[in-house]
Amino acid sequence: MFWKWFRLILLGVICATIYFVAQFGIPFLQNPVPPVGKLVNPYTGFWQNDSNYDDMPKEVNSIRLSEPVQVIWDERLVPHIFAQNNYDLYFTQGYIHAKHRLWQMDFISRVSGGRLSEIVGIKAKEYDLFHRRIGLLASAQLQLEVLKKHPDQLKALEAYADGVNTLISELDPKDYPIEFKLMNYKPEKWSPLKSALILKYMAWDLDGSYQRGNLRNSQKYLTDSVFQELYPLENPFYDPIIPESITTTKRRQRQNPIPSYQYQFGSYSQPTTNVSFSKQFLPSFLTDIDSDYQKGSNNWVVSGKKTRSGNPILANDPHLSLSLPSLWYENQLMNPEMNVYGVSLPGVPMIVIGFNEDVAWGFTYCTSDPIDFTRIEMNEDKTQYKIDEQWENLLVREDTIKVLGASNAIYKTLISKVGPIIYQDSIPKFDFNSIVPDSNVAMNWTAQYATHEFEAMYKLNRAKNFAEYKKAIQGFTSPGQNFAFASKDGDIAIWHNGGFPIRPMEQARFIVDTLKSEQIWTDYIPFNELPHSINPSRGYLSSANQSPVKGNYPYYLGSDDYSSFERGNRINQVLDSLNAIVPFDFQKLQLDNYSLLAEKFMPLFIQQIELMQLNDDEKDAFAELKAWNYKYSPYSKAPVIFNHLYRTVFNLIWNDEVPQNISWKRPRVDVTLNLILTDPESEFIDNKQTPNVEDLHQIVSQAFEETVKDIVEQYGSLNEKWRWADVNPTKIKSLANIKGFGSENLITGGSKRNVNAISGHHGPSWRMIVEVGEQPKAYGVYPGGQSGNPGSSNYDNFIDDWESGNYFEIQFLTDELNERNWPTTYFFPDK
Amino acid sequence: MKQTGIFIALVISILLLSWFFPFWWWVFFIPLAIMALTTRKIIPAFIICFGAGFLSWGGMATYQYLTDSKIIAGRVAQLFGLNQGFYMVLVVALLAALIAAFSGMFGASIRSLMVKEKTNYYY
Repeated sequence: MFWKWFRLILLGVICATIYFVAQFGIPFLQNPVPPVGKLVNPYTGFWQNDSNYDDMPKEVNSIRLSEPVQVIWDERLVPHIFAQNNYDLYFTQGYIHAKHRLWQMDFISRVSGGRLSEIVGIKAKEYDLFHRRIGLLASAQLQLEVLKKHPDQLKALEAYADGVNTLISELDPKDYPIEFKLMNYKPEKWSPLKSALILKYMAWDLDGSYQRGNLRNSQKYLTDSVFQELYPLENPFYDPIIPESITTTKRRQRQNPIPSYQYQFGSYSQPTTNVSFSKQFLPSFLTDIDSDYQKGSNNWVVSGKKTRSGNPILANDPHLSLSLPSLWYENQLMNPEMNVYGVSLPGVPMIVIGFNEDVAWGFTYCTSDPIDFTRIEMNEDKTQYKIDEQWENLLVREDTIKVLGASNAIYKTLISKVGPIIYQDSIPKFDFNSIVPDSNVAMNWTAQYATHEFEAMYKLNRAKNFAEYKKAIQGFTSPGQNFAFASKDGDIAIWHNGGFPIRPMEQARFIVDTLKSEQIWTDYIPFNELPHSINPSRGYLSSANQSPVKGNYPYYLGSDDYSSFERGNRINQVLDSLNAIVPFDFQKLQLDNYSLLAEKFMPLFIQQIELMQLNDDEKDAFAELKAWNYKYSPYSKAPVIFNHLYRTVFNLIWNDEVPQNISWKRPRVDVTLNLILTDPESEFIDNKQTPNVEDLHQIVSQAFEETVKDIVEQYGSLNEKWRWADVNPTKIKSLANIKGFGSENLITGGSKRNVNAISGHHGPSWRMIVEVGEQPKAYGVYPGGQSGNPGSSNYDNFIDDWESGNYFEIQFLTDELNERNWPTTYFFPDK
Repeated sequence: MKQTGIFIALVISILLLSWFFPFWWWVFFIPLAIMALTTRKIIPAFIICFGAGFLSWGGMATYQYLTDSKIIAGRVAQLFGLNQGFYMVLVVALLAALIAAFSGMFGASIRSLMVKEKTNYYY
């Protein structure tokens, strides 16, 4: 009898364990166990996310629609949506986005809103806290408040949310995207706030890179004159975005303070307790989201006088983190007031980059500085802070972070007139941007204020000419962009546009130590005084994240983060040389792997290496370098040698300038190159840690020896493994870094310093070329596919073409006649 | 013969209920219930339920794999550290077999406590 009871209890415990693991998984582990029963069973699990998952029904009925909507699906699963009014159009776009990208939308809005802990547990708590601290959620809420003054745009967001929610309401658990099954949570109701959060996350993704702490150390350990020499306000070699000299005459005087969000929105109370936080570290799968910044994009536009057809042609390839599902979703939106095609962000209505029947536009990140940091002196109980030697009350924002498997965490963020104090009591310890986290540092960021991205997109989608483009982008304050433009009227333009506060260089560039009232932002640089160019005499305009101006521009925009000369100058070099341009010329230019850095460095390297006594491996490597055409071609070996060599030279020159244990911002590569070319006997070239005085020859020799030794150690004597694409494979990871859901080891050329700026898992996220005219002609490709379902062939079916440098001809429909008999979905009002 | 009947009943009921009312836990509760109603012996319960679980999930997974789920099976296999999508069919079948086997044994052990062994008296 005892044995029977013992057996019963033992089997009961085993069965209970099996049931709970199969039903709920073990989400609290460092490597969480998914709910295996739900996940793998063939009736509701991952098997249901099969290749039919993307199929749209022939008919969708909704009581929310007022007129029928027709959606034509072309052979790449691009939806061409034909609606009779704005509500129906954005409703349908929302429905379709959700059908194909629901998890991606949900995930990014959670990341932005600081709600990841709700699904992955405590390991994301600090990450969430950081995003709450910098104000992504608060500023998204403010953005919606602002939208109340623009009912047509707010209605577009609400229509979109209705479409998403209609799709969600039709889903059974077996229909959930696989990532929901893996992480064991359900899609929740969509709202305009979530769309705003996605835009705020994009703003942070672009703006959230700064090295003020490191730059501060550079300043601390170097003399003033050396600092000015090594960190010039104007970087060497670059062609500015704006070809003409700026004629703005007078700097505007300070006016009224820019209304900041803490005084416009939200309920705040006085602090009641000191704030303290526990230390946690970012889960490994999240680190890629924030820790790796290699921003860079290209756009250019040529006027009709340089093209074969006589029509302007515009090209754009924004470089971002490459992931699956892809960041972008291609679609066409048509109703009686517009017909627009381009890429949209899943989770956000409208088209972000694209063209309509009259105009085309594209963005690059402007890289001008939208953030100030200020060290805040607080009183002991952290209720007040000092400004102009006066004590002023701090405001407090309370954030509740729900944590899976743990109690809610309530945090208080203290808010000053120069932004929220994001680094407070050492925590959250995100020092990837080299802010010294032990101090109380406030971050003042333009995205925390009222911004108008929706308004800009809404109007750009409908713009018919230059005047409407200009009107559309005026409100776009964050994140700052170089807006390239072309119209069928023949106009071309570029506007370095965004909200850039008027403030002195020192305030923007460093961490301000003592807060004074004049550091409170009072005004942005007026729109008409921002760098811009319209129909320049040279017939083209371009941007590649470099400084927009040269010379006497009266405002400080930025200096340290602008891209160096290589991409921008190369684009201009090619555009200068081209005439009778056709779109194919721009395909070649977007894929251009030529390195201007190598062109400048290599003669000097060759000259120095020729003086060396070389061993066999070094001779082979040198022969490769000498024969090199300076192109980062995938099967070329020289780029591997050159990349290693110039970096080693760079390290040998700079590693001895400040004590080894100090984290400092080393001078830029273009500054280093300039130094070597113009002052080869500079004192910086000597390695101060040795008793001898090294000259450039010794440095290059040592670097070359080390380079060849390192490469041979890793890959053996010169062989096929030295090929650029093998050493630097391109990887497209899954958005949540789920093993097996990405696409790895792609064979591509290019590097981050080439026009074809592919590097690791960063690169051209959307390549687009548009010739405007009576009937726009366009070509495009992105590294992914329309579907967000990893079980679909449409998940990654564009990648091979993207990898090979092929483009798709874009099908821009002008009516819903569907002459090619493509599959169609009809959305009907359900009365 | 009786055991074959139980086996067939198990497979059909798991298949049909999972198909029309799709929850993973039919493979857990049905063996538990049927064994609690029919069997006191642990080893036969294990064998019958193991086979029924294996067949009801493995069969359906094979069908899915052969029709539309090759791509997703391949990707999930990588997540599980396997290099072939078809291995997921085996993983799924084995998992269901073990779930069903343990719950079936639990059902049988409940029955062996609750229902007295029938005794034959001879005069």
